[in-house]
Amino acid sequence: MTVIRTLERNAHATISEADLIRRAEDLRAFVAQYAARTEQDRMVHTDVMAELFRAGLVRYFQPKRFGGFEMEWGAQIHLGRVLAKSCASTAWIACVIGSHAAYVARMSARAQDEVWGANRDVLISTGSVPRGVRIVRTQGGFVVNGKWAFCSGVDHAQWALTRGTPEGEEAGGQYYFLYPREEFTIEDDWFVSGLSGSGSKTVVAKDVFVPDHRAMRLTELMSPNPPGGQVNAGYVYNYNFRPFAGTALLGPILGAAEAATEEYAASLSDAAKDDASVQLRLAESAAEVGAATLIVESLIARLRRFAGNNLDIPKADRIALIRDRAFCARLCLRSVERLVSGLDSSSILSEAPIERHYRDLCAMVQQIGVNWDRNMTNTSKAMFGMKTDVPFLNVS
Amino acid sequence: MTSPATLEAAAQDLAPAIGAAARKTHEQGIRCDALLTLNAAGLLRIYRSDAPSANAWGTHIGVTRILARSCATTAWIVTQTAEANRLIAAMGAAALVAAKPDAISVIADAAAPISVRRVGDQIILSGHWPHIAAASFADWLVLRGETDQGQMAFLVPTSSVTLIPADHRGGLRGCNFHSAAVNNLSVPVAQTFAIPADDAGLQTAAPLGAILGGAEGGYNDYVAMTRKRVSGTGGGAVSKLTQVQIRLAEADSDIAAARERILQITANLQSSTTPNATTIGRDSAVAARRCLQAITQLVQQMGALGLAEFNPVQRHYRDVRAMATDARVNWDKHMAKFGRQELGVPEPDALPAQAAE
Repeated sequence: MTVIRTLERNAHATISEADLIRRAEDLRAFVAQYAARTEQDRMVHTDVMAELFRAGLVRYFQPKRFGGFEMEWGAQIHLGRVLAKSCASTAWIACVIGSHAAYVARMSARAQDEVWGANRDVLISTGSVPRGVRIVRTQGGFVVNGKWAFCSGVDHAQWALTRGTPEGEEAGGQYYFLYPREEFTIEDDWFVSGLSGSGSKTVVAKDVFVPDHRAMRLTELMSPNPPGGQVNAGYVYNYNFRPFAGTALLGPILGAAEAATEEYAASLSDAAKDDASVQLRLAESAAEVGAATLIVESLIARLRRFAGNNLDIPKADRIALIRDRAFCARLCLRSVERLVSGLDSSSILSEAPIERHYRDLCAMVQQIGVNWDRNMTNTSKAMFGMKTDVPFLNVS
Repeated sequence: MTSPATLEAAAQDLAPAIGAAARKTHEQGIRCDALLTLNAAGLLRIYRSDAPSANAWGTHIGVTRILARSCATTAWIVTQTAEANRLIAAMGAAALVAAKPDAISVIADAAAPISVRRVGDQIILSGHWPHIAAASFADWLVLRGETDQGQMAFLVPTSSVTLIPADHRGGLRGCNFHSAAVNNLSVPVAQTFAIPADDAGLQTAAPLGAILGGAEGGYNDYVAMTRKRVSGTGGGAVSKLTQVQIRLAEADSDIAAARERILQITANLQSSTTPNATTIGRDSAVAARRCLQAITQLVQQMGALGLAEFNPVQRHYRDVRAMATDARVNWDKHMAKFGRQELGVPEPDALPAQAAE
């Protein structure tokens, strides 16, 4: 190991969550400078990505033996909340996509060595929306063909982790497949109205051979004690992963709502501040953001308590976790909708910062993890004892 | 005189081509030839008292509603030219001669009070006018704003002002918006107009046709797409989901309610010599908000597809949002004013401090 790598690893070795958040706060102004450009370019600017890596802001779930911090679940949510006040797309990459390190850290030790052994600054882009996928088992692994849409951060990713069902597997027998950047191409199809800077483009795999040690059944990766848990001690790598999935979204969602509320308040003239309708609007939205904050912190605390103590989550608590994250996202969206509805079109036409926060928020709340219809119908079904589309809820 | 029905038929005839070009218009801006086509059809000369398309107020509501179902940018430009033409006609013969019938004129509203002083038969004008649609294509601008003498309008050649292009990512992107900075511009008195107080209702209602059409167009596109959509989770037909059906009905109800209200407002303004501007303001704000609520509900129902720039429902949503938040239909302003009227509370002092010359 070179001296530089030793220093680099040591420079990050003792970082706490508070240190991580402080580093994010220090970067906020820099990230904000690039926010409009990130949106216009439809990807996080290279300079911003470099700073995220330099500050170690995507290492929170990276194993310590690879220079990571092995933090508790929720650290990335706090990180995302801070960064989103400057740029939700950047926060999305750091928080939501950065969380994918936990997936790899639950895979085989050999896969982890290949991902982090030579390079400690790694982003892993995941693809869960397959299009025209064909996966065939072969000797020693699989041959993967297909496209996966909505792979956030893929322009900066060194690895792709995509999902699919190999031929011959039973329905629902999905696997994750991990392969490096040089083995896939990117289809630039991310032209959207919000979270444009997340660069959620399509990964294209053509005859990619994925060896067995970089392929894993989804159920195995999500279940307690996956292979990675034998080499990584923290609960993020050992506990049932399903309750965690979808919660990282709340960091950028909450941060964008907070930023919008602050922007709204800051934009008010003295006359507007004296207007009761403005006061009511702002107070109601601020209250909703406050409530969303409490929900997020409660959700993190619950997850930490269950996971940290290796407790099974009772059904009622599972329902609450799913319901609360969708409700939190809705509170954030409604809070900002109320504010922007009180602004006239000059806010839109002059590109007031609140407009980008609102656009990004509208996009983020569509993600399946916080989608209102899907999550709320399923929580009610679970309450009635019916089978749901969310495996985590299908317990007695 | 070209009848409203003829103009609406012209709009219907043009609608398919306008719709086909809508995405490009939105991404790259409206094209000059598109404006010339509209002008040739008489659609940029509504309310010119010297043109065949002279008509009673309300004509542009029907026309812009039809156009906005295909392209709100186009409809908005027609709205703004109609408003300009209406005021040019009010200025009188000299203004009509100056701004020839085939010239393109657009309205511009100042965001802050403007400065005027009279010197002989000239008005010296200063101020700032943001977000002027089709500004660089217009031959004439009708600059409207609050002065210490009340609301006034000024007809100026576009070449006499400094236009600053504007760029944004929201709705009405194809409108070629510019802002205009004016400093001590000399305007002949014959090209000015002191706008009477009872004009308020007409101003408030001006954008309603485009807002309604945008919502209707978005609804139509949503229904057409959703009949074929398959859920990304599970693969079932989206149309079979109860919550989709319910929300569609809610959106349609909102649009229907807005439609009825707008038709009533238009009839009221056409028939009454003293329309109640406060009630019209309230109703216009409600109608605009209902349209926005409807299209917002529909685009949010589409999930990730609703974000895609190529999705016409997303475009209609962006455009309706930009139009429905126009200052002329501002919710707070109109609701508070209506409340004051009902409660017998006098209006606050009209004019804040005048902008410095």
